[in-house]
Amino acid sequence: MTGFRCTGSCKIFLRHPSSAQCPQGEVDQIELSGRGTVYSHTTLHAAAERFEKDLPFQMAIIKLEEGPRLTARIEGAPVAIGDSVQVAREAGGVWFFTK
Amino acid sequence: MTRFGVHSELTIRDLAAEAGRQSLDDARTSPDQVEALYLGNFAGPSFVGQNHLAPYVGSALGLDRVPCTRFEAACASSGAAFFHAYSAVTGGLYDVVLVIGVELMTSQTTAKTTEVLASAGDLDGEIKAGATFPSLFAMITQRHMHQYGTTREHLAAVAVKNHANGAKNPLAHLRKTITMEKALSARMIAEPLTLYDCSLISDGAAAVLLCPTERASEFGDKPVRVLGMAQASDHVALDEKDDITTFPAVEAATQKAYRTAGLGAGDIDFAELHDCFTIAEIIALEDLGFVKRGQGGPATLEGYTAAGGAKPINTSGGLKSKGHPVGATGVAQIREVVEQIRGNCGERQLPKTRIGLTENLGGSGATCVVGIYAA
Repeated sequence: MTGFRCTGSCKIFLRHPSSAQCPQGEVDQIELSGRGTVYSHTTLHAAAERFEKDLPFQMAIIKLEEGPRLTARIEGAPVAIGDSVQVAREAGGVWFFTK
Repeated sequence: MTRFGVHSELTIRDLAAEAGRQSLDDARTSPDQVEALYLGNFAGPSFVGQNHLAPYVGSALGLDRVPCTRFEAACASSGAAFFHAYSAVTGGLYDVVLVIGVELMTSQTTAKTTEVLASAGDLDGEIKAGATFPSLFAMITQRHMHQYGTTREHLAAVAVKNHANGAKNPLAHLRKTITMEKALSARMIAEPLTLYDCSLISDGAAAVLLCPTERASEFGDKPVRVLGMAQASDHVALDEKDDITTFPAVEAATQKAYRTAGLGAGDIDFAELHDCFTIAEIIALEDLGFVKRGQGGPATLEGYTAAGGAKPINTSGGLKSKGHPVGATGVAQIREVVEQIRGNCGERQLPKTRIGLTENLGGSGATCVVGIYAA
């Protein structure tokens, strides 16, 4: 998992930060641990057409150890707020986490 | 305002024009007096394939050679249209402006509609991962439950109340009362939100005519004044927000509207709040300062926001029972406050309607429009 660090503020982003997020504009690409905690979550029983085949599935907002948050899918056992999770795999730009 | 529900017999143009004509009749005026059309519509191009919607509707109304423009701000599309129309009139650009909100969205499957609605989220993040709006508000709910002890009964109390109100609204989509048991036992959509925590997929249109206060007497006997009106923005992606149990755009728009009106939360007699999901009404109560942070659920369960309570909320039935034709919702909220202030609400008429408020939310809080109104 890679991220971006604004060299001015040292703040870390998952996507390349905008000029508003990193005004100096100097950004380093860095490796992320892929570990984080569950900030919130839900299990979907209805989805948009292209995701109906996956139902039901759990998704979560995960706060990575390095700071940024992302919305990801959960694989394996269901998670609760505060659970430690780690990256299991990535597919098509979507991250799958597991306990 | 048209009846909200299924209008498969109408085109989006006919639906919007019907609401527009009603508003012109109500204001005892004619199309040649209208100097501009501000049209709120979320996804006409996706739902029915029609672009260039504002002049299309304008010409059906007989508006001649005047600017007709569509505003898109997700579920706050017609709130945003109203805000910009209000800014143009107060700024002296026009005197007489028509604002219409419209959505025709029941012709699609629920899965397709869910996908179109999801396009109001962050396509490169949450939506790519499979998020829907019910799932985003479900994560908001889980967090609100975690931080404040909000329960499923608190959520269900919002749905039960709004259905009780909507049952008395002849224009509402689902005119039926529901019980707490029914709301709690309904099928899950995105845990912990059940079917009854979600607003309806509806067709509908609503319209209002705006003019300067000094000309209001030309357009009917019961003009309603805008005392304060503000719009604010925030992140589109839910995961970019620091705290998802509050909507900073709602707080910002509310504080600005309160300041402009010279009023505070305690002065508001009643309000139409954006209950796209039950949790959204609970958080709106908190962001507007009607109750303390975390008290939205308990206050609702205790009847504070019921029609007979201290602060009646969503006498129209809200998005939950009246229906949620996305682009029509903002103006429909204003329409309800106007009719309550005028005393036209029949069976659901409130006794005390001196000052009313509307709160129209777009996406998971990226746009908010708040207005305050009085006779």
